[in-house]
Amino acid sequence: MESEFVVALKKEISARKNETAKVETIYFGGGTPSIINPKHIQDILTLIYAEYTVVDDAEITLEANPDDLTTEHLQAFYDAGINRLSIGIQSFDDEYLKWMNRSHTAEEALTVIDRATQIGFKDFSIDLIYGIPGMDEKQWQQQLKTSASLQVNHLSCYCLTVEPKTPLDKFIKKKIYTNTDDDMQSKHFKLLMEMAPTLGFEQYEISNFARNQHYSKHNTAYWEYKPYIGFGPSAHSFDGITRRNHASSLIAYIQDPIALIEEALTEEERFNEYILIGLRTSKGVNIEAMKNKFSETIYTHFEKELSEHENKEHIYIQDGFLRLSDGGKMYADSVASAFFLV
Amino acid sequence: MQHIRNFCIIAHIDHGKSTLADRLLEFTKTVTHREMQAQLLDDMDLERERGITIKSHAIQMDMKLGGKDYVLNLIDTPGHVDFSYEVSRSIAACEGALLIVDAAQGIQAQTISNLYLALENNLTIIPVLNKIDLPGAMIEEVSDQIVDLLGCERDEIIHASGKTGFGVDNILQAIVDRVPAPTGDPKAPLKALVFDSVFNSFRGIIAYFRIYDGIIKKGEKVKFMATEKEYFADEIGILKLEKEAKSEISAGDVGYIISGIKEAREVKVGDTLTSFENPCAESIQGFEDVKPMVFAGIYPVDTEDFEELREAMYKLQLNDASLTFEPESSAALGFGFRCGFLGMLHMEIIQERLEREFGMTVITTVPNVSYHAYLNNGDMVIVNNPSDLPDPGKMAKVEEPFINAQIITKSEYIGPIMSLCLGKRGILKNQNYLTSDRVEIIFDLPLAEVVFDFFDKLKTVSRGYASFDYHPIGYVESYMVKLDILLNKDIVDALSAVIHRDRAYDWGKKICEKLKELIPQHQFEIPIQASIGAKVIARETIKALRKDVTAKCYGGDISRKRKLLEKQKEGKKRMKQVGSVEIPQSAFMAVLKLD
Ligand SMILES: Nc1nc2c(ncn2[C@@H]2O[C@H](COP(=O)(O)OP(=O)(O)O)[C@@H](O)[C@H]2O)c(=O)[nH]1
Repeated sequence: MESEFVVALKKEISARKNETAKVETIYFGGGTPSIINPKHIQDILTLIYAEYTVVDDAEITLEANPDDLTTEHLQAFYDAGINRLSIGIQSFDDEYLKWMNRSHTAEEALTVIDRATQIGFKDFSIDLIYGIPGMDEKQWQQQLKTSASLQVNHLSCYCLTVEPKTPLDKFIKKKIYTNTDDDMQSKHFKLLMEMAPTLGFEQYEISNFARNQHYSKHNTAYWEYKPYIGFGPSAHSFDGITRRNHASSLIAYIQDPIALIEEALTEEERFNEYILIGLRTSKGVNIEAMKNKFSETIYTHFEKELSEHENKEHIYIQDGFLRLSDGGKMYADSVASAFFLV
Repeated sequence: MQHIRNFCIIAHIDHGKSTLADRLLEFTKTVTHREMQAQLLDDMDLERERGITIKSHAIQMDMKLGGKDYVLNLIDTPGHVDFSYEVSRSIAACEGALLIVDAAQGIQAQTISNLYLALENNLTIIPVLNKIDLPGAMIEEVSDQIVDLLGCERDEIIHASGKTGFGVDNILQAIVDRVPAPTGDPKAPLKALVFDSVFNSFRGIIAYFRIYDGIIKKGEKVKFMATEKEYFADEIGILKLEKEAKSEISAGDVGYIISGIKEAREVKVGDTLTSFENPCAESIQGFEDVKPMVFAGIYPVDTEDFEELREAMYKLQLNDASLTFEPESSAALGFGFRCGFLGMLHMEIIQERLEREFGMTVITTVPNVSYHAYLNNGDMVIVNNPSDLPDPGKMAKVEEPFINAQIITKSEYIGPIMSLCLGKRGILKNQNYLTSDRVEIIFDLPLAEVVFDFFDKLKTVSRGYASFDYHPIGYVESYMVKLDILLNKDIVDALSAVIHRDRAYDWGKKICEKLKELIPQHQFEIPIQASIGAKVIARETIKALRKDVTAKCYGGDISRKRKLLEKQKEGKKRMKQVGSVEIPQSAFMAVLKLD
């Protein structure tokens, strides 16, 4: 299956080579690409370099689980050209790792950065999850401190979200697990926003923190509404107007890796997305740029919403940018949808 | 007149009335099989889906039997107590009735009150054991039940199947043989019973009548005795699959009249149609001006649709005279109408028709009956809306309408039915054994307790084996209070209800719990309170939403999240804002279904 998948993937990569002039970032993500044979990563990167124009200082990230990153594999990934690792640490506490059904241990989470640094990796991002039932503020604080003690320059912190119909959701409904607590989760988020700067991390997006401006270039492109190409099942592509994505079935993908579901966004929909993601970034929404990007009707609507916004303390304008206040960040979705055109 | 037979069909829902009626029409070649595809007697969409005939209709069949030509008029009857008056008029227009019983189900009590109505009108009853093709048919057992109930002979029961057509010939034969021909004097002044009317958007109101005496002629001037309105009989005729115009119709027969009447209100079921020149001396007995029993506010979801709603209500009233409405306003819901309905089913039908025929989604407020409030100075105020209930300090007393209810059931269900009625503030009046295991229970009950969910409850506790019929018996003094609901300290007038003091606590508690479930969290805490005057009797709290922020928002997440938020916002648009609280429509509706 793996090799069939790689064959399909390569076919897609070659077929779509005319879709972009230049590649600035490459990201192996979604699921656990780290379990793939490093040789395949190598093959794929070689192909991309052959078919596309990749810039010199391209950011090439691999999303990985700590336990997949053996010294051997790390070396192979490094040799293949990966220059940034996004490691799904989730927690430095075995209790919560077990609760989340992760296969790695806290010990592995702690040692993996060292191992990778020795091989030559310099750019790391780690993921942490907060708001897990039973986790108190002290524990969360400790997790953040541990992260800061490591040589990582990027941190993604996600609040535990119970998605409908997932096993977690079912367990909670059956009362096998305690439900998440809105109050506690918001306290963790507040704590995160307060502590991050003291540990040298800048919150440049709701869930993302960077040290010394080591922003994720790849993700920043999403938030700046730049075009991107996604290969593989479920992957999304965007050219500024139209979104295309693959079905999630691996088998269907192997049969036809070029089949894409298209969704042209209306101007309203693009406006909604622009606000949604723009507000999540510390940079904010460039008000002047909106004038050029959208029609007058839409801009008028935006200005009207701006002046009538019901929770004035949630937003502020600075240097021509619309931004969320810290209080507003707690309600980023409500604030964004207040601007939405539906 | 000797060749005419007028009959109706009495059957519990789903016992096969419509199917069998179709077979009769086919057998007599009144309609062809192809025309039959739709169930003919139920020609409103709504009726077909609910499996009940809301409005009665009639159809005429011709048949040759033993060398003679016969005319059979089948008059259809609605099957719900909301429309019991119309049923009684349809029955009054007949000399005979087919009592259809599903051989697999046996006698179901719901039809019994109609059967009694038929017996009261001296109708000849022809028992039909239907669906005998079913493997589960209990022919012996159900025949026993029928014999028990009617006191008829076993061999009078006709075996039939609407599905296979078996027995249809015997039924028709029995109608001719057993149902008496109408009597009446064709030479006497015209005297006809209006048993139904329908609205036709091209022709206006078409009234259906049964002539007792005299002859009606096309073009003559006629008069409706109760409404005292006069018209010219522009068109008269008989009802086949299509209307068939005639120049005259004579005593004993059933027909229709079109006379330029534009609104359903102008024609009243039960009224007597007579000649203007030569009127009959007395009108037909039993006319009642049907009054609305249940009142509720109907509001457009979008306040801007008020005018559109008004249009729709007018149009509905054109063909449904029992619907009344007048404008009212609510702080919570804006402008709408206080509407009067015959009962809860009628209310649901109106709501559905607004939706289907006019594409109007509406919010219906807590229904209430009509109370009489007496002020200290002796003046009486009619309270059709909780907000009209005078201040307790200014009020001497309140009276509420009571009904006398007849419930017929199997003896094993007496216990649960008694507790249901007593729980609804009922007063037991009588209890009779009709047969060894059939009991008639008579209760006086407050109408307010009956309109809500009484039928559903009765059906549940009796496993469907209880018939229910009622008639109003006037007003009785009761300790009624106005219960208000406050959200974030603001009264939501559309959720207020007039309720008996003893039931207020329970109601208040349930409504608060329900609202807590249905109102989404806001960024602030929302107290929900139920109060009588200044006294809070129940409370709940909707906790504040502490955060509302998506964790991950990359690539494909962006459009997923955008769609989700767009959908939420779409839903929010349909919410009603009271003070700072946004209330979904479902919250207004939910009070109708409080357990
Ligand atoms: N097996 C069988 N089914 C029947 C017969 N008559 C009606 N039905 C079915 O019983 C259901 C109710 O029939 P319908 O005529 O609509 O009943 P109504 O509610 O009394 O008008 C339908 O599903 C019919 O198809 C019959 O003689 N035999």
